[in-house]
Amino acid sequence: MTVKEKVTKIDEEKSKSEEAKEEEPRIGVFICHCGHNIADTVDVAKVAEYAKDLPNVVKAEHYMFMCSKPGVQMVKDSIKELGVNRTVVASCSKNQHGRTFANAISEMGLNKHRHQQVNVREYNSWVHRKEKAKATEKAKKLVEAGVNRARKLEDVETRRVSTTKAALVIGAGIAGLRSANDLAELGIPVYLIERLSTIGGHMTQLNKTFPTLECPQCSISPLTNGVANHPLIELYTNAQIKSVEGSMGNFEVEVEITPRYVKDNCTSCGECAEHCPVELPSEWDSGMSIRHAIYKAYPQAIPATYVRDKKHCIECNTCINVCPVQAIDFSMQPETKTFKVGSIIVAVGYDEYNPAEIEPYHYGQEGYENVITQLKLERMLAPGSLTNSQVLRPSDAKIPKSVVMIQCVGSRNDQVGNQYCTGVCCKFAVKNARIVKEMYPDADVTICYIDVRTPGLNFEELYKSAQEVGVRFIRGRPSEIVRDPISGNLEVVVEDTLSITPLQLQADLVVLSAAMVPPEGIGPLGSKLHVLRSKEGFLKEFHIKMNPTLSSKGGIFLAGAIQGPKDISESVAQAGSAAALAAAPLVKGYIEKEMLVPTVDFDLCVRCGLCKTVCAPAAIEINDDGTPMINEVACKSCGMCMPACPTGAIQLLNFSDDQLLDEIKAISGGVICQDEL
Amino acid sequence: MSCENIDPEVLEKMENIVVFMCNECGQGSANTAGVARMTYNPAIRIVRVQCTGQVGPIQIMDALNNGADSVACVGCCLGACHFFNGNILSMHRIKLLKKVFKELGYSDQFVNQYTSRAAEGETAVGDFEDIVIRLADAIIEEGTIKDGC
Amino acid sequence: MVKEQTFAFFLGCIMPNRYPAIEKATKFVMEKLGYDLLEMERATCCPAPGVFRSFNKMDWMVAGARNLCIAEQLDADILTVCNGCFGTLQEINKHLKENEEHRELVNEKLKLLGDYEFKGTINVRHVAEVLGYEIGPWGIEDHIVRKINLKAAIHYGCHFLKPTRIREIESSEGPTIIEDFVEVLGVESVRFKDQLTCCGAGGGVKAYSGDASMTIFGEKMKNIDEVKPDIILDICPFCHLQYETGQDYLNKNKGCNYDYPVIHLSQLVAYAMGMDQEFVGLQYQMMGRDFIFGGEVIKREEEAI
Repeated sequence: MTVKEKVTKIDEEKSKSEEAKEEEPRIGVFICHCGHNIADTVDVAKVAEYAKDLPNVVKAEHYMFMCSKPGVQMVKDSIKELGVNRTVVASCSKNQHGRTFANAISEMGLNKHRHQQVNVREYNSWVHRKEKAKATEKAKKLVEAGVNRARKLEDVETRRVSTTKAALVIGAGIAGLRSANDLAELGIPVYLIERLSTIGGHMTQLNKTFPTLECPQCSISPLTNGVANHPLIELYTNAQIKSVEGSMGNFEVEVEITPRYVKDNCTSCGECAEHCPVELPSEWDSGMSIRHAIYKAYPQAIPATYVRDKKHCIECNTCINVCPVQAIDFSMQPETKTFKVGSIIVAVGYDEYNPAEIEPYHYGQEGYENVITQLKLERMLAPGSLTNSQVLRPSDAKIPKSVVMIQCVGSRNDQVGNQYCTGVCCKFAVKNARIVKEMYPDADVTICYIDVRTPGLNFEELYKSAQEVGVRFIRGRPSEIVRDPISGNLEVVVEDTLSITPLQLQADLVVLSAAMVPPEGIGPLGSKLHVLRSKEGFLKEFHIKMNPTLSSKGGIFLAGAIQGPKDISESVAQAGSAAALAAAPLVKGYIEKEMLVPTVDFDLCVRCGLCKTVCAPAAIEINDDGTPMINEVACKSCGMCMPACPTGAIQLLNFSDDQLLDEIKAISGGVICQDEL
Repeated sequence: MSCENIDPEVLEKMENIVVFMCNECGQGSANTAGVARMTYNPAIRIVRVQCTGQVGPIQIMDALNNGADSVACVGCCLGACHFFNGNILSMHRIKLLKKVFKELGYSDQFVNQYTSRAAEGETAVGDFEDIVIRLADAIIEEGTIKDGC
Repeated sequence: MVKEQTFAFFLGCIMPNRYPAIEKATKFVMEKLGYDLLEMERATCCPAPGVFRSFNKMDWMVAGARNLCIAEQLDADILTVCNGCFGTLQEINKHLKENEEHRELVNEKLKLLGDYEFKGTINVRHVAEVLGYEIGPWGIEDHIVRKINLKAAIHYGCHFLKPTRIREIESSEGPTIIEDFVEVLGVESVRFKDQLTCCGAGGGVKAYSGDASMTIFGEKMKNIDEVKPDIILDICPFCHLQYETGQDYLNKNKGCNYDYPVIHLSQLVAYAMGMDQEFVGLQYQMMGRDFIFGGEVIKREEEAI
């Protein structure tokens, strides 16, 4: 919608409600006995009497059970027979029966929002049972306040906003792939955006997945191929989000694509890499192998097209010369593409915690090459690895005679890292320990733990099986890893808290079970999406129990580890949930929203822009002339913009300063002290 | 002091306490308190707002100007605001207002900010009791606003 | 503002009583570098950060604060050469600057001792970090008269760097401040196993259980012996005492044959800056009496006037 169109819409509504204001308010007031619940404490007859005399009240009744069929009929009849155009029911809470009466009056042709519910039960009769006189007085005041509110109630339109039938998925790890697949199967075109040059995420880096010890490459391969070949999915790798505009149902996302410098006719023959003189440690392989300046991250990578690392390329042009299909093109330029989508799913996964922060473990320091992380161990064990799937010490390539794994590195830590338990490390440590022990039965394999947490079907069994092959478990958090400066040998200093014995464990190889932390770059990405983050840095879900795959912003959904550390099964389950939620408004074709939105009086507006700064769902934009433009779809009707405005130019429909003042006046008792305060 | 120890004369002076409660946890906790049949001072009158972030100095002063003895905002507990940070904005506003009251020479206990939890009625009742206690202190010190303190 | 280039020199207990050579060496070094060292009249034991503090923390703070007040009245930062004194005074100083409640309580008690009031106007410095950071290897280069060629096993001790968030000098897990500094003097640091552990003396251990103290120390000497340094370098007179008497004890009771000269940083730097070896005081110590520092004299061009 253009600004002009939007403004016109607002004006139309304004004149409609002005019409409503101009028509004389005829208020019907109904006090409920609710059996004994209200009537025993509050003198409902007196309250009804009181209400009768209030201005604009044309009918004031009390009845036994307003929510019953005859009760509701009373309300309806008053509209038909007496031309009542605003209703007040004083009974239970708005959550309980507010909707009952609102629906009733809408059946009679009145807008649902012309009904005001007054709570004289939970807020009055039930809490003041011993003070009947005061309760009755209070009830009178509450009803008067309700009447005052009802007098100025305006229609609130429910609008259907048509949605763009397309979705964008950020991140092509297991969660992103799965949700992209599920969306495409529902007939929704998907744009899948991946930051790296290959898809599959961390899952492809693993050796085996628990508890079944399956090969993750095999498990994920049908999915990666399916996604790459799906007619409705457009895959963009080497791509990052530049900006996100719009609101649920209608987003506009700008994506920046870094060039691969290799065209799509690449046959993946590998000649270029073979002849490339530049050698670098492979990031994907945790530094366990060498890649070249032109490379494919790993043999089964999808897309299979090679990619050039411009930063390290020395431009010798050898690759261009040897490529049999002339696929290499150094002149390719970065591209910016804009996608119009209705829903966005964020599935950007996690990073492995960097244990260098824990100084006593000396991770990454000279002399401590044999201190590695579990991800590096996975890469060592994986088929086709540099070590030929053997476990070898990085310092001298010998098979370790003693392997010590340390749990909770960067988790459950008050001093560094994070307080939370990642919840996945015990499972993969136990899995890896068993694999290593089975490969090298003569080696000592020890896990130093605080608690072993392996819940869920099949995981206790996995833990037991590791014990049975002889993995040793020591309950204690190692304080440090010490190195003998002469021999270079490492020892893990830990107290066995079960036998209260301090130990120094010989460790030819130390494997740290590092935590799962939010991925690098989540801060700027979160800001671009206008979604909230938890204090640990992950993206915050809408409700931890009832809606873990919806973010704080409508239309943007979360899937996988970005919402909190979790394993592959949970990520896949969440991906399905996110896809279903994301698909709903797209498949329906529209979103229905009540337009309980603010209006702006441009005569009062001083163009300060303060309203935009307090709007949490980012529903207010500032036009070129300084006036605010309200995105009615994104607006959550919180009203925070109102007090921020210095002139009262912005007012929330049916919650204006004016209307609230009427309610406050009635509740507060009277008018006094006007000069002094 | 606790609610029971307040001088009945002082309690008599409390006629209208306006409490703005937010649509989520605020009114939720008052509801739960009602369902559990807890009791509190009938001077407490609840005004339902979308979010305590919506309550500005205008609403609060309107209440005090029109006969309220004390005003309070009850919102969701920190981190749980349905609209992200409305409860925090409200807290800042109330803090500033308290300073203004002090500058004007009034007690700063006439306006307060609380949080509550929708499932726990006792949080609402606890907040209400605190409002009454603070108001009692202010009345003892200075008298009610209505009396021109 | 405290006086520039001036320190109130806090002597502590062990140095003036057992190793006065360290005091002389410190004075030599600091005065050559252009600092004024003021005497702290009526200063007492710091008191020690281990035993005293664990018995009565409040009184420990009062006694320490009294020493700090003396320096405040001299309007100069405190310089100490001992880890223990540094631990006590630096921590009490920082704590009372930040904690108003304790400051008031301490000042109330201080009044009973005389005209003392803790105001929080000075800082507490250790000679190792004054030399290591403030002067630094670049600052000392021009003052070196003799470049010594030695291998030293450096003992950092406990209270100099820890607790890291209170001292705020350097990481206690992999410090390099002393070895970086002495490198320019020609001294090479040799790393040994468990280098950063306690010498076994402090915390009341030496007094309470000589056996435990010697067990801990014995481990340390074994590790040092493996790397065969020329000297053992320390920055604390108590560690100094432990290394001296400990080696003697081990020789007499455990069949060891140690004779490593034990040198405090001040002694080493003083020698490098031109002080004669006889003033370094090795002849008054127990170990390494025959040790010669040696080193090459550095010729400097006369500065044109």
